[in-house]
Amino acid sequence: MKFRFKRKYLCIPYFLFLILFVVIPILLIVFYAFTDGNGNFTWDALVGFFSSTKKLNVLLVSLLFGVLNTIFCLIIGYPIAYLLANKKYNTNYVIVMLFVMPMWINFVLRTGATRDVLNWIGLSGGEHPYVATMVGMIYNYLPFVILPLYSTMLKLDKSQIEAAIDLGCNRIQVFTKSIFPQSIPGVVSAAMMVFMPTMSSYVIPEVLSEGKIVLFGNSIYLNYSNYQWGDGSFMALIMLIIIGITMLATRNFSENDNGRASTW
Amino acid sequence: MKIKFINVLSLGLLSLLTITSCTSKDANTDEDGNLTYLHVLNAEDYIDESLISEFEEKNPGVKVIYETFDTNETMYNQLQTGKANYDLINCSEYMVQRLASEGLIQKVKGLETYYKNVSKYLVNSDSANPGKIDKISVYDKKSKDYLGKLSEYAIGYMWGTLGIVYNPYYSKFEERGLTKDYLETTLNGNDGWSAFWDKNFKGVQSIKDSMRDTYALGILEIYKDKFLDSSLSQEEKNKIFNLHDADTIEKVKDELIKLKSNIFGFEVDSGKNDIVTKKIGMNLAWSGDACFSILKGEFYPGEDESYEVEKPESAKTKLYYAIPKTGANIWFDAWCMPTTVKENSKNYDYSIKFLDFLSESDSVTRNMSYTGYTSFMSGENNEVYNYLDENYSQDVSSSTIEYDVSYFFGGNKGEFVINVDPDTFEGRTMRAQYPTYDEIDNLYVMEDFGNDNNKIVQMWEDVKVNPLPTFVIVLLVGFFVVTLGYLGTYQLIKKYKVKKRKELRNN
Repeated sequence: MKFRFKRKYLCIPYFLFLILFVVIPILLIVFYAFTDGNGNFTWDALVGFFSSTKKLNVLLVSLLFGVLNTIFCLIIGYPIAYLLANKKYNTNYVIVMLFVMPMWINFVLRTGATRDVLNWIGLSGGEHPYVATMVGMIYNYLPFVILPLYSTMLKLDKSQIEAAIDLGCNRIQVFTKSIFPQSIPGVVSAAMMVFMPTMSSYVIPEVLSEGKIVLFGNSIYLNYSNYQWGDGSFMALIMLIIIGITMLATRNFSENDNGRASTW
Repeated sequence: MKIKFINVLSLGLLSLLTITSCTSKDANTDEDGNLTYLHVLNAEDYIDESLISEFEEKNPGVKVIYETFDTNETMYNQLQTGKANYDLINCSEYMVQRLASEGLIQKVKGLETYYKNVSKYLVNSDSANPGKIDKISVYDKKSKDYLGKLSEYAIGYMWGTLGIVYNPYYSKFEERGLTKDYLETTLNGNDGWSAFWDKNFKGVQSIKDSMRDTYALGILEIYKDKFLDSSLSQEEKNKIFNLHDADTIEKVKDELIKLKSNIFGFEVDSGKNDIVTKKIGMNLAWSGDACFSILKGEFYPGEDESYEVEKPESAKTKLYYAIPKTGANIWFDAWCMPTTVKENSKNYDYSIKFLDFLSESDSVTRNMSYTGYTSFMSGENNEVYNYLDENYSQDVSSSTIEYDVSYFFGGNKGEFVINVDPDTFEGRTMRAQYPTYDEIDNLYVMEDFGNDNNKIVQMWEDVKVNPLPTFVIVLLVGFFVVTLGYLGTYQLIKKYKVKKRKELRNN
């Protein structure tokens, strides 16, 4: 048989990539979550997770941090994004760059520097582990909120806003009836960009709370480093399931009414 | 464009197979000509790397592939999963014990220089007077059969203690009226470990974010009376040190939870810098890290990472090391050889040569000055003592004390003495590197928890978890139920609307 190059062969590298780095790792997680050390099937990790108050507690603490961080980031990021999208304030994108610039610096270095700054202003993780961690989280995830909101705000339908004003809405009504509904896809994708990474973040709580706060990511690491592969994998699986649920629940929001998915 | 999935899958599997067959090739046999590759795995920053090239120069037939790992646990995971082929691995005593009990490493035979040079305090083949490391036995994990002494598997490299490094001039200590004398006597005294729980020390000290070491701290605290009881033998105390029955674990857990609210934080490697930058005033520290902190507190790093430029007096952080009377942990890092290395193979022979090379006095002193850790070796003619004498001894004056290290160099009390002023840099480093003659009976060796490791992990999780108040839990759960409920119904309504619209259109 003669080999003939077809266009579809160009897909092979991507398929290999997907199989090696996406499918196989997930299968491995599932495998370890339901097997014991000798490779026999077991429910131990599942039973262990749901019967252990401390593991559920870690989950709740992570959810709490996830929710709080998302809310704070949105409250801070929304007005900033709105202003940045306005040509009057942001003439040449320099300010957008300034807000996004921290993302260019290595994340671990940045967290180490945050730790020193917090110590210096008297908010050390030793005395205020929750506050320090929260500040670090907001600082780190703010750019992830600003960018998607910014790109949504750029596309706001100006004529609709003007129409709302002409037809007698006051400022608050303009915001609630026109601007906010239009920016919902951005809000949802921003929330998604913050919520999940916060829950599984490892370095920030570890460094900024001086090891006093354990989130899901830290807990998974603790299990892995102490050869509790089953428990660790099961927690990773829970993480995947939570991501799945959030994706499902917010699926329709990340599209505009005309069916166009938001850029972020 | 349709792609037959099965074709792609088989192609993927094929390439996977080739990849695995490449990696599973025995690394020890890939010789070209007469070159042997010696795979050495060591902890980070734990050897003067010029020694490796020197070894290669002396043995032209060998090329050392030197790799490092960060913690014993990562190394163990790597060994278990990666099918990695190493000839020599350097790890801690409890890890050597575990590897031996699981049959992953073998007894090392044929060493010469090592046995000539090693300190009799640590390794001694004379059964009447065994060394510290000889007293630990290895049992098979499954059959529980006695396999041998740990010292047959573990070829000693560095050793030290787990003690307290502190800054007596720390501002918060001064604010609280804790003087240098008070700190010195407390931390070196019967209540040294209790200081971590003391409200006077609140928020100024860090402990290890490492299950084993912090567990040991808990044990030393709850069984303080037993450790101070002179009627108990050293063997009995070492047993107490390694207790891990349910009752002990529970007690340690309670103590550690109490401790958590009194400390600045948990750390594994930030602490040795934090104490220099004065974030904390006291730290649970391994002796080698203590030396590093003491050095860093007084010297600036020079160009080639050597610390030679002394800081001005005002910029110095003078740190001290203490070992409480209760006793402390003595730890060892040792080389071991995986069972994959065949006896009489070239790799085996070169591994032995490498270990003997590292045991030579010249290599030992270079390693000690590079890493700051204390070597297992005393030297055949006590060359290491001469090195210490040269570097640490000061002119005898009223402020110097006689620092007795005779136990380590095989002499009677008073035979090997270094005269140092305990307040100078040399004196404080000496204090961290070698425990005093009186302390050596109170040093206990950590053993592997074996199958009970899981229980300690559970305990540790309990300590580290942050319990939430009930109302927060209720609020949180409520929040999620409401949000998900709202989003869910929204989706259903939307679906229903779309369906309705389609129906209308179709009609």
